[in-house]
Amino acid sequence: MRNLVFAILAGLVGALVLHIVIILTLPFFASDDVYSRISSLPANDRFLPASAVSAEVTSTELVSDTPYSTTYLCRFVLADAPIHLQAEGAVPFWSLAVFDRRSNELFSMNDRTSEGGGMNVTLANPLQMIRLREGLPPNLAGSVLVETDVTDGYVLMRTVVPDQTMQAQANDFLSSATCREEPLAD
Amino acid sequence: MIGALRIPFFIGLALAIAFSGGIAATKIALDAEDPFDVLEIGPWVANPLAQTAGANPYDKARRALGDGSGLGQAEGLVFRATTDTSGAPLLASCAYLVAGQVPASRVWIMRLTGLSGEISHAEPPFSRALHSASVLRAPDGAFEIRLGAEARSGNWLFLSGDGPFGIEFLLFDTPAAGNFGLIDLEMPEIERQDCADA
Repeated sequence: MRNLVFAILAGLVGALVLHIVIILTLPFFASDDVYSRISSLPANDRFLPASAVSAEVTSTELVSDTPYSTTYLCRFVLADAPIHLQAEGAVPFWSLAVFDRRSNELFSMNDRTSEGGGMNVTLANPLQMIRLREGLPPNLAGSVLVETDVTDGYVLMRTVVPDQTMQAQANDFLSSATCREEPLAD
Repeated sequence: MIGALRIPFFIGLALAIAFSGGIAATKIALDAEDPFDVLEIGPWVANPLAQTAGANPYDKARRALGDGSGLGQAEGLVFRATTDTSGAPLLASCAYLVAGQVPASRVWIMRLTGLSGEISHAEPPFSRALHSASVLRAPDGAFEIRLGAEARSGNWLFLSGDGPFGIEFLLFDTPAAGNFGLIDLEMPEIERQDCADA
């Protein structure tokens, strides 16, 4: 009888340990997280509509868009040069969130916190940031500089379009959006 | 004979409990609503930290399973409700009245979801969502939104079928996202009206 109680207690303790181990290690073995699912997309290119990407690379939706909001995404690899995120145009609302590959938010902003209404953000690692401070390339003038240690991740850009008449403008804004490397002069 | 098998039996029992219990507890914890770090206003629940590095391990595990595209902190905040104000689960066979105000935000979108979070697809011409610029309001800014299978005057969203559902408010650019009790936040009441005979 004592052995039975002992076996059950040992089992419960084991269950607890297993639970904690699974929860804590899931992010490291995940194959179904957003970054893994978009890892076949070209990095440092342009923003692509999340709904189209969802249909192409995965069976489940990456982003649950509403009838009035649209999300575009871009995968980035921050290695040789800073990444310049840029979009021009006027939409009623846009917002931007930069995530690392484990979906931790690194940076987010919306149109009210940007200069002039367009999107202009530069991601740089600490070394690149030192060089940017020494002399900002003319292309990056007015850009919001974001220093980060991560080497890869993804950017989500959302717009809210409450009215169909603004959809064309919003599409222009979204499809103009780029997330390219901006080489630093030697 | 039985005596010789006692020790292996107890080891096997302990292992069986450990594995089945551990896996079941993990699955239940990941499927359930997150009880940690949430902002609760009546039936409405939001998780401002879910996408940040400061999120709890359960949120991080959920993100590993695909839930990695929520709103960033400067983008906004999502409030979800799966019960009405009295605490009864929301049922698609009933009609509801959502009345009150939402926290200050530039624009908000309200939509209906299935319980697991997927969007319920109302067939056109019925809209699946409402937004802040399309809602009729009282002079003080309060609104009343009716959910139900029968068209109503004022603000109305089509709701039909049976089984549980959820309501989501996506508040874009809201101070509520960085708020833990500094501002008195207000969310609408959800009141059950008549139900279809089941």
